[in-house]
Amino acid sequence: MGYKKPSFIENLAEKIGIIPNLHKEGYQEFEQDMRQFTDEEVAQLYENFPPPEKWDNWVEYNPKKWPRKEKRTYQIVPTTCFNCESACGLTAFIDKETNEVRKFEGNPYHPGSRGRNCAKGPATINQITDPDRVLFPLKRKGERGSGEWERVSWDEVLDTFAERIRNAIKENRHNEIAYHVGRPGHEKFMDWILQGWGIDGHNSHTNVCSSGARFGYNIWYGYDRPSPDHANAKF
Amino acid sequence: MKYGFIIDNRKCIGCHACTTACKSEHDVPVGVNRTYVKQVEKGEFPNTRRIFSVMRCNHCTDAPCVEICPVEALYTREDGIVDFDNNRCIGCKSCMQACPYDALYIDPDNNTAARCNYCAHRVDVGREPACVTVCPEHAIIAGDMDNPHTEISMLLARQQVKVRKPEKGTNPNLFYIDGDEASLNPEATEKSPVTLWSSQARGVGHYAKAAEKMIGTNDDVDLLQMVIDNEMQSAYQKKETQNPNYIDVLNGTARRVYDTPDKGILWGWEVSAYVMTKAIAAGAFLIPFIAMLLDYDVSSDTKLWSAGISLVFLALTGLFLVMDLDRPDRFLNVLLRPQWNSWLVRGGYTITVFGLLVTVWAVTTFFELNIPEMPLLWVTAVFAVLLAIYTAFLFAQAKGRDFWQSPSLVLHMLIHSVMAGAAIFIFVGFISGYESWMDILKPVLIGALLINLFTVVTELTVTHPTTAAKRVVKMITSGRYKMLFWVGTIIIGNLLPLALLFIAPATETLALAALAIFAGIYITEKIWVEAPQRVPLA
Repeated sequence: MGYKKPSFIENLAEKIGIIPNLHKEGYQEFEQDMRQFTDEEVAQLYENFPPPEKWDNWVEYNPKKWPRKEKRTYQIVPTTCFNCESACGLTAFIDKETNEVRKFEGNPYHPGSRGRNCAKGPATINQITDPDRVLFPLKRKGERGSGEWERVSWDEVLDTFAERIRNAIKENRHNEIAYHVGRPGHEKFMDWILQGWGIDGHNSHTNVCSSGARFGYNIWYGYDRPSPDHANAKF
Repeated sequence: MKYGFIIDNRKCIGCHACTTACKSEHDVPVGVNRTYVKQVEKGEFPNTRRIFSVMRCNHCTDAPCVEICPVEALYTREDGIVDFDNNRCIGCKSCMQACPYDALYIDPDNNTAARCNYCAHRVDVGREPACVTVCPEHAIIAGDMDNPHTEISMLLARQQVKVRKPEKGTNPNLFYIDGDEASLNPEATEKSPVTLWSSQARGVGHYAKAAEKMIGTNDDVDLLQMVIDNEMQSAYQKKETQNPNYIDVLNGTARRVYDTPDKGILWGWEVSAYVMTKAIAAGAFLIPFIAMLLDYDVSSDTKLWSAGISLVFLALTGLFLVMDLDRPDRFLNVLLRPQWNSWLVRGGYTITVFGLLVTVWAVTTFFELNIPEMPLLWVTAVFAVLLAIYTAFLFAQAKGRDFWQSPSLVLHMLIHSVMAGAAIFIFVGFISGYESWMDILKPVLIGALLINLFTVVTELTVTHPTTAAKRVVKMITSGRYKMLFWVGTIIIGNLLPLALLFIAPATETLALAALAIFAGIYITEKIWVEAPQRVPLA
């Protein structure tokens, strides 16, 4: 580590060039201007989230190059976690040089999650960088199960779907249309459209995951989400 | 300024948010963790409870990993954080042997050691570690323990806290409120079984062949074979984790329900091999030296044989040492970036100095230069003894392995050296002819074998102070190493040569005895090096 003086042997060896010189500048000098918080806040180390006024240019050290101090500038963008219905707040740290999301942390200003997340929140970065992530519309070519896909344009997608759905509705084949989505985030908009078409084909994660509970809540008090009374609950 | 952690088990729900936040912050590869949550269940339903313990580096004040690291890749900062520099690390894995808490791992991306470093890059900016930021229960508390007004100091002042393994003298700075022994003590529960994705269980660094095989394979057949292999491994491991000496009431009822994979053997055949070649190198010098002390006439042929064998086996020792490193390209760091408290460095310099002295001796003998030989030989002899025994001191610095903290290990190594040296000169006698001083070989061997047997018996019968060491003794004498120990070490390595030397001292049987001694030394070193690494640390 550069801030400790190297021993005599190490110094000599580095100068001669047998081993790489790890004591060049910028290794471990303490930089006061990188301290973004007051001394009391630093001593406490408690909930020192980046303040919003600095979200456009937040500078942190790169942990992969540590202990070499390489500064990286991030743009912090607040967003929402989509891994479950709780919809906790997240902040995406976007590296301004590469324009890629580097990591996700909590959003201290979200009234529900207040800066904290479960294990899925920070793990969202895996979804962003997943090599199998679908980035544009793909149409199957070849046999089912062969894994052959070709990219198509949005126009072609919309035209194809519109034509086939309209044909099915005109020919009274309502049961042959299904809307499949992973997590419904549309808050009843698609339900409205599907009901307007007379289609009972909304298939999603919620169908399987929480359908039992939702059905129960629905017949009990008319809505599919609970409203727990945490203040008087025993567990 | 002294940073520490408190894990508040009154609030921790074992959600693993800290694990993933740390992984995402540092881009920790799959299969290894800087921090994780160990979950242990105790009791029988309905009287049962799950205990969550967050396991990670304890940032000890007297960190054994810092003491043993040969290149100062692990170091303690002034603010108490124990940090690491993977530009210096050579992948020797001695830190992983030294840490009693299993906090370090070998990063498969660059084959160097890594562990929790308190997010020093965030602390320098004024933020808290990533795990603390994300924890939904505020169950991880970080802060300056020297400042009485911080939350951590106030909690430490008022709550009852526990640490892991306080008897090791490492002064850990990670405190558990409401910690439970069933989880904090690794021997209270059986080791977790090998699972589909726990490829680390096959070893770390260049031993993680299973992990390398799995990269980039989507082939179902391979995965199936791996599951079958893992099941067999798991059954094997279960047999040897019966711990008879721990708290009875917990044994059998406490069980691990979530754990990270065991790291397996870190120091493998290369380390056992280098201990043997080192013993031969030291012994090849010491035996003629002893003959000279006893006023025998030692020819210059013998002296050249001695120096030659020493140097060749010293080179082999160096070769095996470099082969064991996970970053062999940085092997020079041991000598050129020395951290003098580490016995790896002291040993490295001992090897270098001994090599130089023996070379000087060889040159002066070959060119018949007139120099005061005895003083040179005495100095070289001191280094030869040091060469033979320094590994015992290195093993003693490895605080994670209780079986190695044994004073008799020093004698064990020295005696092996004497045995190996005498045995190799039996072969020299065959090749270059008998010399009168070789009369001492037989009595030296008999004496050394008897002392060796005595040492082995003492080491395995005098009760070791900790249960971990007792487990290793059980493993050696009646567990998975029992065949190798009784047949290899005792019979082939000691009893057979003794019988041959007493009963049939003809020259052919002498050679057989010498071969048996070499086999015995290697098998003993293999058992002594491998067995303690099978005891779980976390």
